[in-house]
Amino acid sequence: MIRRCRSCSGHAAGMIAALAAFVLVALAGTGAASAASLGGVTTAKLTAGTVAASTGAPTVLAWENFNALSLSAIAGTTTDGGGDVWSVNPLFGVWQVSANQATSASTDSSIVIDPGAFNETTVATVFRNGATTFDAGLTVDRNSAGTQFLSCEWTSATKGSMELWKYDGGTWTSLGAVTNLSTSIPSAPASIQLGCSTTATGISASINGITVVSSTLTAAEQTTFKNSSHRLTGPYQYTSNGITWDDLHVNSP
Amino acid sequence: MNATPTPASTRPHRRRRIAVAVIAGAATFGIVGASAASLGGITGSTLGADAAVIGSCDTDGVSLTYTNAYDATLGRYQTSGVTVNGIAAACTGKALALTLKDATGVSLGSGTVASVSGTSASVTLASSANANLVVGAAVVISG
Repeated sequence: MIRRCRSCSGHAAGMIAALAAFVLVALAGTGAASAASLGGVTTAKLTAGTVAASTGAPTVLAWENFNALSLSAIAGTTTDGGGDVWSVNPLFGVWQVSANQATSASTDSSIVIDPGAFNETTVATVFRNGATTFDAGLTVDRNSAGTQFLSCEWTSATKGSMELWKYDGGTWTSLGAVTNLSTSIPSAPASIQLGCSTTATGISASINGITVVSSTLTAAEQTTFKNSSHRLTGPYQYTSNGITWDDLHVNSP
Repeated sequence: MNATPTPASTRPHRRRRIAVAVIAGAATFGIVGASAASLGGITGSTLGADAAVIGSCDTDGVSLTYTNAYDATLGRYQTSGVTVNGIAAACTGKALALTLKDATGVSLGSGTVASVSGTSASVTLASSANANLVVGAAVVISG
């Protein structure tokens, strides 16, 4: 028992010593260093936080890069993203791939998809390809018969213009335009990123992300174009002079 | 085998001492670990420790704006940069780190600014992030 008692006593003392060492180690560990006098720890400032965030980037409903063999027909193919099928609208014109871009020799023709929304922004890079007389762009809120639609058109008029048009049953109505985009057509950009955006109450066009012209739709126009039978969108050309389209995508909103 | 019995009071007394030591150790560690306040220095013994109050150089928060661009290959918008706005002057010269996260907390991209200058800092992400997946951001300014 004596030996047990001594053993217990020694063991307890050892535990106390160990605990004391633990406390000191804990202190030393958090005290940033060394033994003896620390002389104080320099104050550090730390600002940290986690916040809810939204980038504000639109959701892409459909996208198409037109990457395929040249002369391949576009109509009947499915978009690279979004699962939409291209169709010529109205039913004339031949749209093909040319050097991984979309092109057509037909005037007053479009090739469209149905992204499932009538308030959206369709964006594509439009290449002039050296043309000095041209009128082409994007169409939105179009019906399947091609008899009613809105369009954003980059034209060679007045040293380069961006025009908004409404087409309804054979009648063209200008909804707005901005002119003199360039000092001269030959010096016009070789390409622009054209955006044609339509909301519940208006339509606007942007060049390289900057809105250059917009128009408010009348109540009657809203009734006509803002419904599920007017959801088609895609490249459109009024005149054809070798204009091509690439990297098309439809954003929501 | 007539061994002298251990005094009955001895072991309980030592248990109390052990318990006191454990509580003291834990409490001390807890205070230092939480950096709740300056310890004001520790005297005695051969080891010492100190802790400084960790303060914030910006107490009213910051706001974020994003640089997004369409990626034709991916067919979606990517965030390539974030601007941290509303940084307090007290943070000038300090390092800033930012991480974007998705709904599950997974990092989508991050970037740093070595030294904050002015009231805003532009952070270029090491690799662009899917803009539509971003639901939160963590910002740390230290130094």
